[in-house]
Amino acid sequence: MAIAAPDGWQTGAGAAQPALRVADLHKRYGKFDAVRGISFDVQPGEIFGLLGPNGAGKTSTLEMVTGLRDATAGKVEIFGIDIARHRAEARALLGVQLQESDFFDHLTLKEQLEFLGACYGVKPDTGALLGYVDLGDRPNWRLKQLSGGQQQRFALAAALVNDPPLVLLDEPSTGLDPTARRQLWSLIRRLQEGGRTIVLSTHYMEEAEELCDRVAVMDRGVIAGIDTPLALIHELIATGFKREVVVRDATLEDVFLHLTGNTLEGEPTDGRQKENSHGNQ
Amino acid sequence: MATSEAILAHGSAARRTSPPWWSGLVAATISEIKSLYREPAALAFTLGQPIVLLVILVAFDFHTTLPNGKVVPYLDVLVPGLIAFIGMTVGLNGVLFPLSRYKERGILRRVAATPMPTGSFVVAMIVSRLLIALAVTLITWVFGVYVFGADLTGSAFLLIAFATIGSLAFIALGIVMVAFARSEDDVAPLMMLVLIPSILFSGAFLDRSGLPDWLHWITSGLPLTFLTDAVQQIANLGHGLSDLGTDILGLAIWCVGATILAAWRFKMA
Repeated sequence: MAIAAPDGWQTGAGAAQPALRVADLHKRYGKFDAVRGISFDVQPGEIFGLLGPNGAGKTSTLEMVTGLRDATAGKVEIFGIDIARHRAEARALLGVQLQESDFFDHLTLKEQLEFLGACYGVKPDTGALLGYVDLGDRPNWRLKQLSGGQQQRFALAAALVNDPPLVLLDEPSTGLDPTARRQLWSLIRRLQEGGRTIVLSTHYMEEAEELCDRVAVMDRGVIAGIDTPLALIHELIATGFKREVVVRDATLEDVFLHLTGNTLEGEPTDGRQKENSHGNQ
Repeated sequence: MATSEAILAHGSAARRTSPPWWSGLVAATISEIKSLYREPAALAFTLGQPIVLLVILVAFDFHTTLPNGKVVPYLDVLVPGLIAFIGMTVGLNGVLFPLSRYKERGILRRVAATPMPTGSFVVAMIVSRLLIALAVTLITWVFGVYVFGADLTGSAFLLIAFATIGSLAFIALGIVMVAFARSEDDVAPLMMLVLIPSILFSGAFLDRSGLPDWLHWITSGLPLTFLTDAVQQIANLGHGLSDLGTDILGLAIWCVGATILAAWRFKMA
């Protein structure tokens, strides 16, 4: 595939240096402390998750990592480059998918990627990028012609125009149905296999457990816990925590599928077919 | 720092074309030009506006007296007035609506996360709008002179060049308004705030000599008053740049003032 990871930054000398270093980072808006002194390192090749409820400070943290917001205090380094001091150099190593950001209506998918590439001073392989997110047959489509899942996949392709070793994804699967979400997870895993480092924020625990090598749980601007998902689970069990287990023969999802006549793949269920034939009588 | 250098060399540096400030500026200019011709309704409005206004205003069949005492048909002062007015609307509309939409929808935020400096994007907006201003000024001049028969005695080149460059003041003003607007909804009222006094008091459509002294004095500082006065002097009196010192100074003050405000307040994200 054309979007192979460039050599050199996941092995050798690069391995000793974190892909991302966040040191004692603070963000204050007026009298409100959104981020209150967080520190963590992300190693090359990792998928690192920032978990937390809305308002935990995840987006503020990612905005400071991208240099979109200045930190009130603390430091962010991308492969050793201080983003506050060398913004352009650090951003050249960074691919971003941001929340609440959009693309131009008047450009085709191919043109959007070319435009963003030009903003990094590079000429991206748009065919390979669109092929990677399964939109290779639609280079001349406009964004508004795509479904929500396709748009999110396109945003992922757009995050790769500069062939970045570190990719930041801010709640990449928000608003997607379960099928589209799983497709996106598979794409993110392939990015990791290509050698890229990924930092993603999410409030879906399943997503974090499924994808992330390590997670930092954020709450009210601080990191409440940081480890592998399994280690955090074991840590909780060790405190004597026991989850209440309720076994039912069906879930609300089963009810939903029965009533709407759809499976996750869009196949009609037997229940719906019976309902239809009953209705036709 | 050696590792960082190696990363740069192995990553995007391998396919680097030119510095982001330059390649981004060129790409953003092309993108903005595409945004204009790919929206047929907006394009028709922009290019057709002067023709529609000419068709309507040519119905006012009366004569007016120039500062040199010469009596000429209204059309002869209307065409340069319209050229100035169109320079203003292209400058203001062309920046206000798209830029506020880009800002509200987070498009600017996405662009701001790249290494391209904000200035490159702003310059791309300015260059693309100047090209449109040039096209619309030319259309107005061609239709005014060759279709409707206006008799413009001055240099056509100077008229068109001055009106096009004069629209810079309004482009800068548009960027300032976007910087101060809290949302896309604020933009239309802000535009009316400039548009209404400009239509009524700048001299583009109505003779300023009938205004009371105090209103004449206040509205002599409007940017469109300077631009209208300059293009009418060029077109109707055959004046050159050396006669337009006050108008050039007035427009330059608006332009520099707006640019300073925009540089201070305008943010992509």
